[in-house]
Amino acid sequence: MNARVHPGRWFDHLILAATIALAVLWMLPLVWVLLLSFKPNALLMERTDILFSPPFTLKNYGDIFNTSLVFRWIGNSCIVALGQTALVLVLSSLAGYGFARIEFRGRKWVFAAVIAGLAVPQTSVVIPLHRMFADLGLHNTYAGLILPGLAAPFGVFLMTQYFKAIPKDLEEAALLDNASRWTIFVRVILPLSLPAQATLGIFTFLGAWNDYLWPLMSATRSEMYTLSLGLASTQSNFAQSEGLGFLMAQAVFAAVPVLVLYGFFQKYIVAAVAGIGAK
Amino acid sequence: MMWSCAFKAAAGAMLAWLLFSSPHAWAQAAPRTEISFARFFGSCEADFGSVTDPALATGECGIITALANRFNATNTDGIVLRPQVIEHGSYYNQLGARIIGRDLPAIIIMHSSVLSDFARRELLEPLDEGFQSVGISSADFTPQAERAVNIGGRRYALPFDTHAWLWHLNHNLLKQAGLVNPDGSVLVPRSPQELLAQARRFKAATGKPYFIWLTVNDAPFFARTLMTLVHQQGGTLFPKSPTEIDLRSREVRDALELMQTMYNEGLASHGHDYAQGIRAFVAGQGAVMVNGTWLIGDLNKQATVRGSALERGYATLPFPTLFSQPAMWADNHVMAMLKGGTGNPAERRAALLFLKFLYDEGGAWARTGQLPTRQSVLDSSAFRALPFRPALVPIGQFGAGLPLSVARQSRVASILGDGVGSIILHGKPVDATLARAERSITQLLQRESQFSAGRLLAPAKP
Repeated sequence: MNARVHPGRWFDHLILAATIALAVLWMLPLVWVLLLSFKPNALLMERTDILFSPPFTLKNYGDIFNTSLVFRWIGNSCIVALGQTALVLVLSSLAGYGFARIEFRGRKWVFAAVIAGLAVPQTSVVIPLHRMFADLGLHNTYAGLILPGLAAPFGVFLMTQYFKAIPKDLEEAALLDNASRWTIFVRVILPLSLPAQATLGIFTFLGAWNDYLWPLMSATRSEMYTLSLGLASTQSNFAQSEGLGFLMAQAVFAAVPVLVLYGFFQKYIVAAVAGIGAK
Repeated sequence: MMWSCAFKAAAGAMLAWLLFSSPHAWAQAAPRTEISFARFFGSCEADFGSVTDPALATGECGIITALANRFNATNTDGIVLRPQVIEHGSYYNQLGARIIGRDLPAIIIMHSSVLSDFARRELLEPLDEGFQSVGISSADFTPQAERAVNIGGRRYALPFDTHAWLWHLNHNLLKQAGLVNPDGSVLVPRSPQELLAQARRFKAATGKPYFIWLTVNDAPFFARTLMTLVHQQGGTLFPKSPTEIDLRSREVRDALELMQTMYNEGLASHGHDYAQGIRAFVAGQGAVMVNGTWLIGDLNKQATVRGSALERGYATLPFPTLFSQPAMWADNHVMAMLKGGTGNPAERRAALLFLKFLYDEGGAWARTGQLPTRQSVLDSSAFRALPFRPALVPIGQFGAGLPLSVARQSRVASILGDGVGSIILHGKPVDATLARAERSITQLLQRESQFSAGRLLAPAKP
């Protein structure tokens, strides 16, 4: 009696099947990378299509762990990524609140100038930035690795828009209770902005963790390398042919912390990517 | 309350961290003379971090690591060498930024093909006096190595190795096609006609292409091969001046025609990038791979793998002379000193002593497959005892790239290779494509000539 399926459901199934197929297709290179990371380099010099059959090896990962500085590099990446994230959150929140709530002369112009920063690619400012940091003696320091990432126009924009959307009534109620502007900001506004903070924090962390160009320019002592830079430095000149397994193991190794982060903050990341902000 | 405290704590902690993260926080106490050495080749501390005997190390990374360890362990002048390892692909980007920021390493490795760009901008120290002071004799440099570091009569670097274009051979397949002499040695073509005949015979016998070519995303492959074939005809790409390339010469046309014929007849493989090309060769999909000296060690190792297509059947030789004179593309790794890279006379002396150490250890590096730059090492029995090396000795004399007086060689080779590649792979019209490449390169070099000031221009001969 109910054997007939509504045409709309067929379409839904079709979309679902296509989505799954595309997801599998998208995942294939990642699976390929993972499997190659367990293959001997000598074998990969001959062929890369024996994925599921032996031989397998853990040597590529062993070589990573046996690199004496690898844990230092992980530590550096953590310090840089967490430091940059914390400071971006602080600065973007303060600036965003100022732009959203405080009237001051030239506010629109200053805000426009900040937003214009979104159009400036990182590569275009690397040389002047490098020169400036050299003059200040900040290369090969954590400050040197963290500070350039603090100019975060996207963060200011995001927080400004989010704060604008919070009803002013809440602040006015607090003002009636004699709360100072700072108290209102910290005790009323900030807790309400947690979803936006999480979104901004995740993007900032991922950006800092994966950054290669600035650490390459600023960190010239191997003990100050971040993980991405340090792992790259261990590659031989022709790694794609003579050390492919090691190369793949490095890719997996560098991605693990980010995957762990994704596991913890999946809800916010999905919401952030969807552009709706988690509620 | 909790939010207030957390926010203040985070802000306070980070500001404090930044304030106390002083520029010299990580500087080590340096009671001795410390010099930095910026290099690529990767880092392999896991395997060779404590090895001080280069003979116990393998590969470029292993041997350069062991050499640095050995220098630190054996020098009696209290010198501490601090290698700074940078990924090959990003090396020059970082070096450029460091020069602008005046964060200069004492010694840098570079390619001779970029040496003149740095010398032209007066960034490098001429080293003749320094060489004399520590006992480095440039008279022992091979002719190719001497050409690679001598700009306008001054030597700007220590030549560390010569790497060149070789034919890597699958002897097993060549034998199967009957392309071997009665004594078992490989039948080497001596003219374009012989090459085509042998390649056709090979394909008819095996069904495989004679050549493994690196045709995808590898502009240098075409540029290096073209340079080789043009030089073998006694031609040059820069007959008039170092800023004016000539791609309309008969030599260029003949070289292109040969390459086109090989490719169009399926005598060369299609669709391989660098890594795939090597895999194809190792898997026995072609008889000859045109590639560099740096692969000798790895491919020779494959010849020891049971069941490998190369098992007991790998050989190599310099790019054979197909025209009137021997020539093959070559470049060098060289060791240079940036102006201002050493802060005082003690550091300068230490850097020169490290160069002397590398000069003395030239034989150790030869085990990588790269060729020594000292004639005495090339002629030594130890070098000639290494696999295939006696056959490679002529590279020290006949290896040639673009003349040192030509600026921006990497970019020039890239434009040239793209042009040649589009003609061969995609059948683009020869005249129009070469004319476009000529224009691009000439414009590039004329823009660059503002840095030359006519001081460093040497005769434009290969």
